[in-house]
Amino acid sequence: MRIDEQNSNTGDMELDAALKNFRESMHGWSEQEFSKTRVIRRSRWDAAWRAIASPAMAWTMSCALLVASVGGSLTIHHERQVEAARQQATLKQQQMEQEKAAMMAENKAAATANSAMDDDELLSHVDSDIAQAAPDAMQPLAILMSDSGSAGAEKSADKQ
Amino acid sequence: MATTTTVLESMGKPAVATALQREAASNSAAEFAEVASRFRPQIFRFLLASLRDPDAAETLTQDCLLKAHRNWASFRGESSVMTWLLRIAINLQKDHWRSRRLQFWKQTSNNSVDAEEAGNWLPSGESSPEQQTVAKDQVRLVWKAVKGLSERQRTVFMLRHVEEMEIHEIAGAIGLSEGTVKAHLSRAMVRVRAELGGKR
Repeated sequence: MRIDEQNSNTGDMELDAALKNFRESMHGWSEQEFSKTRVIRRSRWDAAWRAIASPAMAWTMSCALLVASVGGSLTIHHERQVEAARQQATLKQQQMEQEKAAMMAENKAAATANSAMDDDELLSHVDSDIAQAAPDAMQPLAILMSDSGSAGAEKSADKQ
Repeated sequence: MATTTTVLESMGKPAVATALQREAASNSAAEFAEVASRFRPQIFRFLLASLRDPDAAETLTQDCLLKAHRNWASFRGESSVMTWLLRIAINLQKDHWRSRRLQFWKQTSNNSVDAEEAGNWLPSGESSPEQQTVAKDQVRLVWKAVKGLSERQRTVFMLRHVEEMEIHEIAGAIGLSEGTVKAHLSRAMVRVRAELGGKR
């Protein structure tokens, strides 16, 4: 019984000594580390978040965001307007070209019709001219010409 | 404070109320600065013992004091200032372990000291080289046992045997009953005893 108590006491004493040494060791280490100058580590995300969260940075970023959103929407609106104008101009040009083509075709048809009419008129005019009787003063020449025409025909018949 | 302000403002003296507020704020700041400088080494020591990482301990000490400063006005003095500060430190330490567990896949800078290495710090007493060697061995074995403890057991053990806090103070700091604290401490001591006994 006494031996057990003695062993237990020895064990407790050793435990107490170990705990005391542990405590003193911890205190010594802590004092040594505490007296060191140390830069506090911050994660990159933490640093970035702190930078973003600072009032000046937040103000700058919100201004930039506002300018970007307003500028972006204006640019988009402007581009849409330009595109619409371009499409309208293209449409107009196409319409004009179609009208022009139609007009040209119409003109051409009219011209063709006119020229046909002119030819007919000219022919009828020539016919009428030819059919017109020679003036009295020119009658002998006309007779002569008709004679020579018939004489020439006779000559060619003779040759054959 | 709020009552004083209301009374003074109802009396039509806002300038006096503002001056009093400013004075109270200034007193509060001075009071907190004193508290911070007094308890900072102790908080650092507890966090260093728990984390074995001087840089992390310093960072968490700063965070703890920052948090305490923000909530200084709401501190009602129901527990001692040290218990209150340690409660904040324990919560921060828990968050730290949690984030470390979550970030296990991330290559983070880790300055933690191994238990073997932590046992190298010994107070330069007047003991003989043999005694120094024995003490160093004992410290190494205690660290080895502490390494195998659960987070809560380790916290209780550190508060009891490094900070030399009473059971009811530990219970107040951790937010557990005294019985639970005793149970955790008992399990921790069994482990330490076994480690030291295994050496013999």
